[in-house]
This record gives sequence, C-alpha cells and structure tokens, in this order.
Amino acid sequence: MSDKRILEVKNLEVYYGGIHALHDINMHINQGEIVTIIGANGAGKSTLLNTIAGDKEKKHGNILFEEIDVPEKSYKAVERGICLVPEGRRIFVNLTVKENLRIGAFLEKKSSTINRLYDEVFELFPRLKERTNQIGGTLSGGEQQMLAVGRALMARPKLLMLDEPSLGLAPIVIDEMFEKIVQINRELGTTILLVEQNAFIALDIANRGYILNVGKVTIEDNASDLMENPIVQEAYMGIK
Amino acid sequence: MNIFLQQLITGLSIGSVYALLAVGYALIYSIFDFTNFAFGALMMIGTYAAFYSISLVNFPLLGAIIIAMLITAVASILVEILAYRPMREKKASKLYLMITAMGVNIFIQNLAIQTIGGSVKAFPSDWAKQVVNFGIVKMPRSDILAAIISLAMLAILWFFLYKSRLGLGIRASAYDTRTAGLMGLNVNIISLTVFAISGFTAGLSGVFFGMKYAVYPAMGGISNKAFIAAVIGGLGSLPGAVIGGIALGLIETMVSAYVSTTFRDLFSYATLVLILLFLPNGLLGKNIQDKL
Repeated sequence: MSDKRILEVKNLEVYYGGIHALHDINMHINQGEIVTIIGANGAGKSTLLNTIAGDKEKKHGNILFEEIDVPEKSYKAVERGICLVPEGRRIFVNLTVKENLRIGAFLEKKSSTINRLYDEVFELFPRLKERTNQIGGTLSGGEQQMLAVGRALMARPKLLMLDEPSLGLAPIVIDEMFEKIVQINRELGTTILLVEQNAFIALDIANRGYILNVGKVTIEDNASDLMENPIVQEAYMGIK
Repeated sequence: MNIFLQQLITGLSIGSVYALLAVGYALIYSIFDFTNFAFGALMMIGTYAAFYSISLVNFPLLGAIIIAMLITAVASILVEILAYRPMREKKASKLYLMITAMGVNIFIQNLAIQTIGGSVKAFPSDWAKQVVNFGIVKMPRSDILAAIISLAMLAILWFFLYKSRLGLGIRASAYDTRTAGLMGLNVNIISLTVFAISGFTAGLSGVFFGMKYAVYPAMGGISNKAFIAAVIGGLGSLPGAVIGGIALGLIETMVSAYVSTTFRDLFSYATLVLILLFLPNGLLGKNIQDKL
C-alpha cells in the first residue's frame, strides 16, 4: 500500500431523476487499499459507484483516476482500469460461464492473454471451472456472485468496485466471498472500493471507510476506528 | 396432394424471406427494445438499388443483390446515426423511438415518390421469372433463389452471432445493454453492427419481394408481415423470428390455396391479433409487457 492516490473525488454533485442524490462528495482511495462506503438504503452509495464507473452523469465536480478525469462513458472507464461489479450481480443469464468471462475481457483480442486470464479466475474460483459450459442463469446465488467478480477481473482492473456483494447470500457464502476479496487485493494487488449495508463484515476487511448519509459524507476514518465509533455502532451495527 | 406439395414449397420459400426480415426486426428489438418501423422503407431502398443496378448499369443479378445489401446497410446505419442515436442520447422513451421510426419510414417513402415517381415497375430480370419444372412441383427461379440465399444468410448470421467475439457482444447487449457497457462494450459499435446486419437482411429480402411481386415506393408495407412473424416467434427472439417467418409463409400459401387469396392478409393479421391475445410473449419471446 502506498500514499499514492489512485482515485480522487472532488466536490461531486449528482442528480438522480430530479433528486439531488449526492451533495459535495469528497473522498479518495490510495493505491492498494480496500475502502468501504457504508450507508443505509437510499444513501446514494450505488449512485456514487455508478458515477465513478462512468455510467451516470455528474452535475458538478471531478472524478480523477490516476490524476486524469474519468470519462462519462462506462466502456471508456473500463479501458482506464475501473470495473464495477453491479448490485444484484447482473450476470448474463443467457450466456455460458465461459462466455460471461469472455465478455469481461471483451477489449482483449489475444487468445493467449485471454486463456491466462481464464486460468487466473479459475484458480481463484475453482467452482466456476467445473461449470464452464453451464448457462449463467442456472448457477446458485453464490456462484453467480463469483462469476460477476470473475467477469470483472477478466478486465484486469486497477480499481475493482463491488456494489453490495453480500446481497442475498447465506452467511457462510458471504464469509467465503469476502475472503476472496481480500485475496484479490493481496495477491493481484487490485485496489478495492466496496459498498455495503453489512457494516461489520465490510469494516472487518477494509483499511478505511466513509459513512454516507442521505447523499453526504458524514464521517471519514480508519476502519478500526469506525468500528469503535459509537455513532457508527448505533446507526449501522445495531449496537446501543 | 400435388397442390399441397406445391404450396408447401412456395410457403417455405416466402417464409424464409419473411424469416430473414423478421430476424432484422428481432435483432434491433432485442438490443434497443423498440420496433424499427423504418424497415419497410429500407427494404424498398434495397429493391430500387437492385432495380437500377440491373436496368441502368446492366449488372448481373447476383451483383445487383450485393449492391442492394450494401446500399441498404449504409442507409440503415445513416438512419441509426441521424435519427435513433440522438434520441437515445437524450434518453427518450421507447415510444418516441418508435414514432421516430414511423416518421423515417414515411419520409423515405415520400422522398422516393417525389424523386423517382410512384409507378409500379416489374423487376428487370427475365432469368428469375422462368419456371423450373421438378415433375410434381413447379417453381419460378426467383422463389428457389430466395429460399436458398435467405437460408444461407440465416446460417451465416447464426455463425456470426454464436461463434464470433462481436456476436457474443451482441448477445450480451441483447440481454442487458447497461451491464454490457459496464464490462467495456462500446454500445455504439454494437449498434452500428446490428443496424448494418439488419440493413443486409432488409436489402436482401427487398430484392426477393421485388422479384416476386413488383417494384414501387410503397412496397415496404410487406415488411408488416415480417413484424407479424417476429411477434409470432416472440419479439426479440432470433430463433423465434425464423420459426414465425416460416410459419407465416406456410399459413399464407395454404390459405391462398384452400380458402381464397383475398383472405390471405386477413388470416395473417388475425394470427397477429390471436397471438397478442393468447400468447403475448410469442412462441419463444422474452417476458415483456409492451410490444412496440
């Protein structure tokens, strides 16, 4: 981990269907960090990730990735090295596991590179290798989440963003998923931005965190300090 | 029995042309969720391109078919860039896109009437009009050619969609355009490919309809049949479009033979109404509410 900022969000304002969804957001991520954004439903977490991924227009402010503005087109953001695993996984249920992964590396044309990427993903998620030719829609929820993460890794992102990876998964599967996220961060050196409602598990693996409340960053701190913070404990962990 | 066999073969021939045109509809619907009602006008452009390449430049028939496909593909891409893309970028609702498509259709048709006149012409190929005798069934060469080339084109299209990288991108976008974008697919490249392909299919079927019936600016109305075929199969489903096209071709020729030719279109549109009433997702369609 270094102090080099890979992503910097400055004075970001975003409107979502006429609603002022994000107010003057300032945040940053250092190279190699795991950063989490915690907030309740409708706090603007997904809107923030989608805006960074180039999928939503910003009204005002800057999103700098490696010191250059991120274009407001999602496919261009992928070219720059930003990849989002969207909320609800959104795998292509009409395509096979392998075809889903191939879509992740769509910009890559060299088959030797693609095969190396397949191996990398299969090593991380051996379950996907067993299901290579199975149609995506027939996978279990946990397997679909693995596929969604694997698909994003095929793009070899520098910054991997995960939108509620724990959504709808059994506790044991969630633990396994978060171990993999740590493994991706440590072994592949991928910087990670994680959005979660499950504050416990997110702060457990993160270096730092931001608390997002109705479109505003209210608290910014180290993950361990946030875990001890009585306001965070009461609002997001159910501890009184 | 002989009549039945004759009508079966003719039905398969016309059905394969419907199938080709229906696939063009389905492809665009599957990605952009709207029906490209400018398809009839594009088809007409293809017919005239072939017509003039033969009558003015004396091209061979096969050359004229290729010219028709290329010119229609260019026209199809122009319609996308000039009319549909600006609407999409303004995040217009699907209904407006459909109305735009209808406007483009009327515009091109009237432009053709104003520039080349509204008269009905015969397709200038004597070779195609000759009837081949197979013993129990007789078929004009144009019908044989239409069936062979349409089915070959469908096979090539299948191969492209299921075996190529860009084809995979199209199938992914058809399922979820937004997520495809998040994975690095440039929607504009996908859209140009899809409009080029649907231009090829429109141009090709335009030539076959011109040969079978006649060449005139309002001939695009035949593309309504392909729309019916696409709805029977389930809008947005490509295998459905092929099945729907061939089914409609067979229904029409059988009705013509055993009921009356004047009832042919009545049966076609009645099929559309019945499908929408009792099987709104068609035979193989996605589960969708509006069929615009």
